Amino acid sequence: MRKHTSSGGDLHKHIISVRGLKKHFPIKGGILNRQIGAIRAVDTVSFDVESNKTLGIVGESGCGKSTLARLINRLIEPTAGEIYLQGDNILAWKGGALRRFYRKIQVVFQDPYASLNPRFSMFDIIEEPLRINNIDTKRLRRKRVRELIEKSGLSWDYRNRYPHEFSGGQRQRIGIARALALHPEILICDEPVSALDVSVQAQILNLLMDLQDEFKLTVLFISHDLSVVNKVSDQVIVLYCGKIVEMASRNRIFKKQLHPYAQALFSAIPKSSPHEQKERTLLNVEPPSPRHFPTGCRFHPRCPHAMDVCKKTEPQLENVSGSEDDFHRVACHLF
Amino acid sequence: MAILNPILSKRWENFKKIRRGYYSLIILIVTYLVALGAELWVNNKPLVVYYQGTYYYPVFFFYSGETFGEDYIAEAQYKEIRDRPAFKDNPDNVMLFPFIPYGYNESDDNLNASPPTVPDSRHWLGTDDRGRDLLTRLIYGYRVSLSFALVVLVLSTIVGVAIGAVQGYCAGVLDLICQRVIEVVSALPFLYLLILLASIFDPSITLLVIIFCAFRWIGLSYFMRAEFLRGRKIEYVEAARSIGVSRVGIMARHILPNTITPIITLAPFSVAASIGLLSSLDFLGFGVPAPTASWGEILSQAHANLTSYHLSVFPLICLFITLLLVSFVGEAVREAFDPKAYFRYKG
Amino acid sequence: MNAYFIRRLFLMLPTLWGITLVTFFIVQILPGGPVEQALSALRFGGGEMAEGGASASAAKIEEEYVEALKKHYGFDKPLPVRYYNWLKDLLVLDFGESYYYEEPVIDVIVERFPVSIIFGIASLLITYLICVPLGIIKALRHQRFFDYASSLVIFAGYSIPGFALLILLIVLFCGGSYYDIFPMQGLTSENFSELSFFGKIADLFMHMLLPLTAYVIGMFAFTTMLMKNSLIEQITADYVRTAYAKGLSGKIVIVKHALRNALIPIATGFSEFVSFFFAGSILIEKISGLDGFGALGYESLLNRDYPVALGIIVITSVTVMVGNILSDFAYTVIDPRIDFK
Repeated sequence: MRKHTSSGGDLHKHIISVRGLKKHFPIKGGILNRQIGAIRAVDTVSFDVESNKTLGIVGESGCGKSTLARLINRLIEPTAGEIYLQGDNILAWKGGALRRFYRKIQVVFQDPYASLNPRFSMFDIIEEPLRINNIDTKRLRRKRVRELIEKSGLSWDYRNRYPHEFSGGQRQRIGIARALALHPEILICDEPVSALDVSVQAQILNLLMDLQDEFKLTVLFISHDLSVVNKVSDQVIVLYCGKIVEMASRNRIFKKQLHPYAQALFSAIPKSSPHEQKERTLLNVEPPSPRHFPTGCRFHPRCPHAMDVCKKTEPQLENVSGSEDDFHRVACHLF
Repeated sequence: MAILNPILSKRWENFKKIRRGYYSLIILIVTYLVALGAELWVNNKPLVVYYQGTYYYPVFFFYSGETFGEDYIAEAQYKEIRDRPAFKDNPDNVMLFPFIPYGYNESDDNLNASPPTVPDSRHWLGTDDRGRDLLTRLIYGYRVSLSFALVVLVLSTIVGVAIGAVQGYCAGVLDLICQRVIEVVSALPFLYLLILLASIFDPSITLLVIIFCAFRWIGLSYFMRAEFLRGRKIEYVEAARSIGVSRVGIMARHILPNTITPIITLAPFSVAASIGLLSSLDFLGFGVPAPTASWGEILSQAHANLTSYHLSVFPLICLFITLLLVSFVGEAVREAFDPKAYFRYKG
Repeated sequence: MNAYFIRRLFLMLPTLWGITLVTFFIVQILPGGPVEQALSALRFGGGEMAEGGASASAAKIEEEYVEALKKHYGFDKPLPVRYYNWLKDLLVLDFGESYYYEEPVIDVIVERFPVSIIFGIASLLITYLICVPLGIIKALRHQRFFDYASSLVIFAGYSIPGFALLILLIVLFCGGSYYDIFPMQGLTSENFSELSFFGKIADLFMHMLLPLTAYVIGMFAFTTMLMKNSLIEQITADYVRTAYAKGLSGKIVIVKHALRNALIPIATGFSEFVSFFFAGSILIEKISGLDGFGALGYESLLNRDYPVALGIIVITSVTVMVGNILSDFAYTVIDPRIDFK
């Protein structure tokens, strides 16, 4: 176990706790089509989230953000590790328990064009979770769907329209309404605004934050867009090649990033004023192939401060803030 | 239908615009419906008989010979009765025969030459080697061909969709086993096995349907497997899983309606193939059991009676027109469902 | 990629085994086998003997005869043993001996090669000499007069079963009701051996023209349309438009760019050359009285000549499977975009 997981009692303090989660996708090849390697999409990830808070998960594309989301939502099975929901290991659940679990964790998907069935009307889409789980009578369901539609900023008059008749922002509102229909405790937002126009992004983010307060949601917010993460998160995790390289409260991490990768990533945020001088850290080398991660620290071939030890030993995630409450953990040999 | 509505109705509009295919479909449907009611207008039983003050409807009801004063209890021989003095002498007695007054298995005993006779005013398309009216047999043969093709289509579609869906959605070991089985079945020489089985079991249409279906589902199952493999990765399917929809529910409600394209576009080709293959089997004598009317059987008579041109020309025209109409429909359906592939070249 | 094709070749083995298992058991379980056929022939031929008084001894003789027959055909052993023996021989390409012809199956099959090879080569020639040029012209004249006019022939090809067309052709041209131009049946005339070299070719031609026409008509329509659609797809592709845009003339663009890619689906068909030796059609050979592969298969089924029937099924299955693999392989060689994984 990692250092920061001081005791098992911790698990009950947090609504969701992830411990040593791994997902390796096999690479097959050769004449016999045997496994000849693995893509370590998510590798030994551990973190906790407090109730009604938002955890931002950032990283460049291919770093394992979406795999992490799918693991937590149990759309794919992990290779190793545990996920606790209010202290219960959800990976042990099957059948009916798993179905009940689905009520507690819901997802807002990245692509509002692909995440809605083109043959379902808006009403069907939002009603489906209720119908599938036999919640309420038909009449009560109708009332609930209406509430959801209106809370999501959509018009009840459009209930019989099909997805292709809505704009991207409206579609994402439908996706949010569907996710909230079962009154989940945790909402995973997998790049919920990255497919939308910038002008619409803010509306959707505001909607999400309003609904978070109203439904007392805990949100896992996955994005590659740091300015969006800055707006919504309480805590931030930086992922690189399937591993957490840095983890801190939003205030801390946006003030000062410690890991060289995080520094490079955050330096790419556009500044709000053109007069502000920005120091950009540029990375020359391409990100490593997921089939062959470098030994030692996975970032060392691209790191401007790489030392000999970085090539050999993989750095552990350690708290450098000195305070357990407002921690700042980083996995780097520099600290 | 409501679920399929928005996209399917657009496709239907596209299809209607392709007039050649659309009219072909209308012609096929209308002629098939007319052929389904063939007993009403092509029959050796009268539509109405007025005999000794009572009306009889032999097309719809069974009447024994005794009803009309004959000395047998089997079904009345209406044409004999019509010519008996007992019937003819009373001017009130009437027998109204259908438009084409021949049965599909009725040999005409009053031919002026030995059968097969060439077309004349009595038999517009001539008779076959047993003196049966060729037009009648062609009409009933059309009904048999198309009905057979449609039954095979429906059953093999159900099987193909079910197996392809399970393969694609469940993937893994099950898929691998099914793939091997499919490979074995599709490498088997279909016609040989068909002939072998048909030569051993008593000929029956049910057997033919079963054998046809045993082979015909494979083509569709490839497409369905691919569609379901793709389908299970689409985000709205993951969304359905994450709200707790069951496997069957996802396959039936979320993926299946979006895989309608291969099902519909392959259908006309399946119909055409079944019609062609059935006529081949009938030609060889392993098809529908005698005396069922069939085009292939007429063609085999043509092969035995080379001097009777009408036995080869008319069934060939029927096969040609039917298959042509079906392939027009197929072409139009494909264009309506997949306009990209038929992008017009302007040069 | 080579690993993929080697694996495909290995995967053929279980499939092939499945095919032998299925067909062997279907064929052997079905009633009306060679023993029963020989017996009914005996009863029919030797009716007098059975009637001749001593029925008990006749029954005994018959029983002994049945045993002898069973032994002769190998039916005295249980089914799995028979399957094992047959499979063992198959591994060294020994298909056994034909019940009907009483010679090795291989010889029976090889005797049928002339007709099959004519069918195979004719379909190859038609594909490359007629279908490809016709498809190209149709594509370039898309929706103009030539395209519509030739489509009539294409649609006829799609919609007329070959065997039905053959019957019509025979009625018309073989002395039925109208003209008497072509011989009706067979591969050669009776005086074939006396003919000169050109006379022989002319004789073969006269005999094969009608059955060949019927044999290739369906494929002719299919290949022509494949060529046409493939070329149209290429002509409308972006890279061809780019070629036009940079000022190349229409001819150069089509020959240098579009045609090369459009030929890919056609060219891969060539890899199925293995099936040439086994080309044929039951119906057409039966109608024209040709002794080809199709007719052999048909007769062997009717005569319950199981070694021949099984041999044909195994050979055709293998050629189909090898052909599929080769054509996939040809795809990857010709078209670098395709990657089977």
